[in-house]
Amino acid sequence: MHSSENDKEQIKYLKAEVENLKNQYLHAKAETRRLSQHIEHMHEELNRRRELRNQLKDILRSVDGQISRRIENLRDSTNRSYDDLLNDLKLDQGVPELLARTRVTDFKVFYNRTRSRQLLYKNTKFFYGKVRASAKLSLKTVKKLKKIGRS
Amino acid sequence: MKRNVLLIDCQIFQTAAWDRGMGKYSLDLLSELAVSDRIKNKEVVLIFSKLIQADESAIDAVQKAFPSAQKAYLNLRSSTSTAINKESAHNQKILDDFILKNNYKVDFLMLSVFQKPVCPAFPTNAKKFLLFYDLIPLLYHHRYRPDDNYLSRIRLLFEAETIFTISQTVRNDLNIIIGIPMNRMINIDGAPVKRRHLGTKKPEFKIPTRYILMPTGDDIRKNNTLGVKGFELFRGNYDPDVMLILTSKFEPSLRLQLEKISNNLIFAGNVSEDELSWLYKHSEMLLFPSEYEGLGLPVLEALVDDKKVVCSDTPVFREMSKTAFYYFDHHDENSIAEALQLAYQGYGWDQKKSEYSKLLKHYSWTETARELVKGLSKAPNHTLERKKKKLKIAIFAPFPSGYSAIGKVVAELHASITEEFDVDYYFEAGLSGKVLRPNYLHFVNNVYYAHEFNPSKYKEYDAAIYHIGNSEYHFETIKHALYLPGFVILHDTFLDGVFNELQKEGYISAKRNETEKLIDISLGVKNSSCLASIANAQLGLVAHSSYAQKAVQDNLVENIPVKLSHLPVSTPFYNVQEQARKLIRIGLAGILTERKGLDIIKQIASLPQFDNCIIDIFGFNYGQQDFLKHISEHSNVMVNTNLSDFEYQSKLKNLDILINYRNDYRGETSLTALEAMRYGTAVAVRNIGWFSELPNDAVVKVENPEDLISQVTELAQNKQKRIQIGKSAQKCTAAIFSPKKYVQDLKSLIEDTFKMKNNINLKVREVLLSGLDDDVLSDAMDKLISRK
Repeated sequence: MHSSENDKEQIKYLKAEVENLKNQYLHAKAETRRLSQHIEHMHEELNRRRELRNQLKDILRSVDGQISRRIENLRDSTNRSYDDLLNDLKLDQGVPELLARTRVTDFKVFYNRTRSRQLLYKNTKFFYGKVRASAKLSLKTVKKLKKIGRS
Repeated sequence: MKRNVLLIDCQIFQTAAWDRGMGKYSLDLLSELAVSDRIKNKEVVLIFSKLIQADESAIDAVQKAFPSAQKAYLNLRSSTSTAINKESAHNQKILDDFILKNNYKVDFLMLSVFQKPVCPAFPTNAKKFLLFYDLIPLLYHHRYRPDDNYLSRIRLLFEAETIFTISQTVRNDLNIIIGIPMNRMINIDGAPVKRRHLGTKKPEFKIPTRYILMPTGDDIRKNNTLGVKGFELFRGNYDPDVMLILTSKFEPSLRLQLEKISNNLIFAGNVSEDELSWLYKHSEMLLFPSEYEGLGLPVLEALVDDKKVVCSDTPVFREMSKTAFYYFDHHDENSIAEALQLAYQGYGWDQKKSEYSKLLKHYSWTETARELVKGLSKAPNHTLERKKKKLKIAIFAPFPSGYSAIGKVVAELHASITEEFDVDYYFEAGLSGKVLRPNYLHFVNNVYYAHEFNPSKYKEYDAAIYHIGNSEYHFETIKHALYLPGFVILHDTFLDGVFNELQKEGYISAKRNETEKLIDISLGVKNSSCLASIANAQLGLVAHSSYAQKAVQDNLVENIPVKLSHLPVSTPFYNVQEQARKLIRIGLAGILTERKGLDIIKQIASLPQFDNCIIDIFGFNYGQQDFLKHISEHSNVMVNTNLSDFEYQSKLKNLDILINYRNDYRGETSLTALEAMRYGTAVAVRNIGWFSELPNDAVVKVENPEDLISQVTELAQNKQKRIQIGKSAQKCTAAIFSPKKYVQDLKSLIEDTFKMKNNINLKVREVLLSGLDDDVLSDAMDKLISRK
């Protein structure tokens, strides 16, 4: 009897074990399905992104090409009208912003380029005679102004 | 109480010119002034220099001519080599002291501006008058190469309140070439030299039985070679006994050259007044082949002795009479011979002679003195006007001496613009720096290089004026216009060419250039290129046509005014009918390229209906050498390139029809079309852009090349229509394209702009003028322009 009771215990344990494994299997199976679904989703996503990237590349290449071509055209050809150029390219760059950005850049570049430059009188001595001097401030006035500046 | 005095600068009589044309003119004028009612009772002082040695007989002659006048010898300096500014300033001071010491209120009359070694000057406080003979060294600058000494004297022409000219031709020249407004000049004409009272004396050299008199000088302009050639042809064919007497001294080489052409010449040398009278009196006729004269005294002198006048067909003689003389084309010896033949045969002589008395009545010293006195008393006092407070502006443009026509326009506008503004010029020379004409503006006004301008100079002016076109002559101007807001005067609306050059020359990067083009694409502009960032950075803009005005407005995202003001061109007094000649001249002028209709003129040259017309092609040749060579092989085609301004204008003047057909229009105006219109030339234009805005009765507008040919054919056949169009064209340039109006437009644009409240670039200007530190300034600009 002792051994049969042991066996019973053993069977009960095994049964539980089987149940456990079964659960684990079911869980793993579910997990596998989920993961495969996820992988599938990831694949889809990847493909979508790949597709998007290719599309983007095409767009960029096309726009880039069009812009370069147009710039070349604008530079070298007077035969094509602006209408022709604009028909197949509609760019909305936000003109006011673009202009503002350009202006600020121009200002910084040119201001810095010229602010430190002193007047180059040495090359223009030719231009400076009595007559022009009389049109400028007299020495007396300059001295007076300097004095006011100091005080 | 100050005494009213007329001071007359008589230093001309202390120079070698005293017994030549200018001196004789001045002397006869003085003697007539002396007896004029208005001058007789006036205190007159004749000014001489203590420092110039003079011929005693000259001073005696002046004394006799004007016995009631006082004489004053002052320490007036002279100079023959360099610019006269220094001496002139010294002489001004001497005159000022003299006037102050004597407590005078002065009218000052200068009898000569250009005669070396005199350095004339106007006193500071006086009504300033000037007698002006001609602009020959500047008109023929290739030949005479005017030096600084000459060019620096031009200042006086701008300084004078009234200029008395010796003919309408000279008045027109000053108006066309220098831009002196017509209302600052009075034509007083002149008269035959008074020498009757001296009697006549037979010269000592052997006088032939029959001779033609040719009063001349040793100067290419006198056209001696062709004159002698024409005479020799005439003599060979019609009158083998006649001789030609040439007055004046000649260089041995020229004399030899002339003697090779004809051995029937007598060189009289410098003859005395009574001998000259004798020569006029006993001559068969007068031959005067000069290319140009301010007045041409010998022609008037021949009238006194009822002599036939055979002379060149130039404006000054046409001005005297269209019919009284036997005219010839002075470029053509055959024409000279033909005219001599007509005179020899007495063709129409009775009719011509009957005009002489009327001519002499008009061309008399009494008339000349009367006009001068009238001018002296009526002249407005511009000095007061000139002293009024004016806006100070910096004008950016190509050097007037260079190839860009914009520089020329700016120089010609100087007299008018300085009436309203206190001007400083900032010029640039372009990449080639080639010189086309002499520049005198730096002797007249403050002139700086455009690259010397900077933000601190910007603060000194009320406004910066940027002349911008699509060429290499605007780099510095565009640079400044891009960051220092001012007023842009736009000469082209397509600026892609200059932007590409700006990139090549390192002013801007490739990216910056591309951005400008991207802006164009985004804006969707059709009638301009690379204009947006320049236009949007200004306080205001000037466009020369509605077409250009609209093109600029399409570029604006900011609220900036764009004023329509028509390109200025001065309009002289010029009678189209007086100038009409036998052969019709059809011309193409300016920059000679196919874009401007060179291919069409080729077609016209080969059509039979134009066989009897002269096709005159002239201007600047840009790589069309073969084409021009080929086309000039047509018998009726003349091609001339590299002309001086005067030659160019003379050719425009002589055209009956100018063709100005643009195959490819780029928003520009045509200075050449306007210049032809001002002379009353009928201009045929393509009906596009600016050209279509010209009044319908002032030009002929055509749609296509076929239309052009049919319209030009009709114009060539219909003299009345040509004259009608020419008259309307002259009215149009005088009314619409006047420099005075242009200056007023600019002034009102500036004044109105400064009243604006929502012009962002006024705020940018305020920040620039604020005296902020550089770093702060940069940030402030960023915030302001980007509206952060």
